[in-house]
Amino acid sequence: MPSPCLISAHDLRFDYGGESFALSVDAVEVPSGRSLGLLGPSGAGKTTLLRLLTGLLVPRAGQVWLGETEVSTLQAALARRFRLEQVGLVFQDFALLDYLTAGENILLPGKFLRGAIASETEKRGRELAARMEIQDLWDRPAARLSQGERQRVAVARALVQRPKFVFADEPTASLDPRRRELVADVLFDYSKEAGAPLVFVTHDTALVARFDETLHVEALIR
Amino acid sequence: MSLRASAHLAARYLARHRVQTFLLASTLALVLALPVAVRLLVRAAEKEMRSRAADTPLILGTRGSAVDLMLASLYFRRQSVEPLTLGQVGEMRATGMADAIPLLIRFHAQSASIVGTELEYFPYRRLRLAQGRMFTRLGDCVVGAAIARERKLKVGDHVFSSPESTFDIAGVYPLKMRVTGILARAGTVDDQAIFVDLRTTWLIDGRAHGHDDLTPATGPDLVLMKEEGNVVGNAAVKMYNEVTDKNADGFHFHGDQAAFPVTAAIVLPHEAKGEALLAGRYLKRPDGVRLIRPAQELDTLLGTLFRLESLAVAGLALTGGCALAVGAIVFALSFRMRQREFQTLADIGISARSLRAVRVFEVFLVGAAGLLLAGALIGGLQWLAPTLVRWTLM
Repeated sequence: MPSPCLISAHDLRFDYGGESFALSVDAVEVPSGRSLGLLGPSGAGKTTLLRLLTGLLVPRAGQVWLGETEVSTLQAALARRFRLEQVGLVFQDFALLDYLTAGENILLPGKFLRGAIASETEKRGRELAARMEIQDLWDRPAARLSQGERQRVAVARALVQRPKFVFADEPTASLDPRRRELVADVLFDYSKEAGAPLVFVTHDTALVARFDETLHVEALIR
Repeated sequence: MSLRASAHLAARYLARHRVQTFLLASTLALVLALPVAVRLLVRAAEKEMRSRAADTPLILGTRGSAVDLMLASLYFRRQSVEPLTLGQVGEMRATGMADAIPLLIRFHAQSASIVGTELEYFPYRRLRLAQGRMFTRLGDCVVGAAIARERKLKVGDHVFSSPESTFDIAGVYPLKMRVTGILARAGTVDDQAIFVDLRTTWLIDGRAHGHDDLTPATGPDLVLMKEEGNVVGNAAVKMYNEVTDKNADGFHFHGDQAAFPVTAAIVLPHEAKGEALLAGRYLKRPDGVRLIRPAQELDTLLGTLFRLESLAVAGLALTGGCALAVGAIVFALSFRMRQREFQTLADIGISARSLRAVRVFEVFLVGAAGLLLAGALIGGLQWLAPTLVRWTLM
């Protein structure tokens, strides 16, 4: 039985139905509080692997466990509930709702999880926003945020519910070096403090030294 | 599933796209309100017309459209009704079976009809004065409550009759009329009329006039020629466009007043037997003078109106159905265009039921806004309907 806070995948096989791309992973394991960097050039399959690990994509073969839950075989409705409760996701395109404010975007998962925002959750959201220097943008509509600001809102949204597992798809791509370090600090610190395994997609070589382990995804492509 | 969160998300989306939301809700409101509005207006028109017609047993007029005659007599519509003469009204009175109140409705002061009549009209319609007194002299007028309020008229002010044609220099000239009284609000078309003595309407018509005295003592320079007892004035003779205490005696009528026109006369039979006898007498008169019963004419008119109403409501219902279908397509397209947004929410972990609830709430909120707007429109129309109907009928 896998440990409660461990990301593990075995014998993963995945393709999009064509001949051009097929991913094959023998084993991936990310223990509690540790980080895994998925590296590789654009189009190498980093995002595909990340989505397989979160349960957003279903593999053709193999198993993906997040803690004690096998997400690769989980029924869709349960998988969604599991993600909402236990997974923090930073999407490559940020996936913010333009008609909500930055603050509302950050608190959105909590709203759907509990129906209302507890003052403690809002306090945590505001703390995260302050740490990522977007506290002044709390009431600004997401449509009026810059790319870098949107990216930081997306990171705050992923962490506000204190997830057990964190997946971040190029969370620092639109940031200047100082803010890249800032956001990376927030993610790595949370992983360490909460004991949450962190999977981090990047092709930013400046961050490589910070990962406990790295995986070059292009090596997994047939 | 959190319904509260779904409702919040739906409300925030609609608030962010408030113009589109307002347009959709307005379309829905119009679709819902229009058939009701048509029914409401028709019922208000029926009520208004029936109550006025019920108070008017018979109308004396000449050949032509009975509906036009009725609308002219009851609602002071300036229809092209062939006039009868004051003498013919006198004939009716001479029967001893009914009273007759003559009406001449041809002229207007801006949008308000000038109603030439006799003082008997006011007690008959239960009209009373709020200020001032009734007209006693040529050129005096009594103003309906609504007109007085709109134009801020008070006793002592003046109202000009409007010329019939701006470019007809031989036509009717404006008469400056003195306001001697303001009527209390009656809640009928009488509120929107200006009442004058019948002779004042003939004065506007040019059948009477007033000018400088041409007797040798006062105006020898004004005489162009004298022939067979007639004195013809020259261009220097000043014509009066206002009756004052000073010049009132200078006004005079030309011709026999019994031959002067009136649009119609309201006939008030003393008893039912007289009413029946009069109806028989005026059935086929060689001079074309006849009696109509407004209640009967109204039934004919309303019958047509109800058929038209049914057609209009059916047409509006069809249009409404199409508009609702278009609205449904708009929602469907909007949801399809936002597929990526819903996918994002699903990726975060929001359940399919919550996302369906977001869509349902959006439709529901737009529908509720449409219903509220429709309710406001209908409520407003209900309040305005009697006034609108009166304005339309005039």
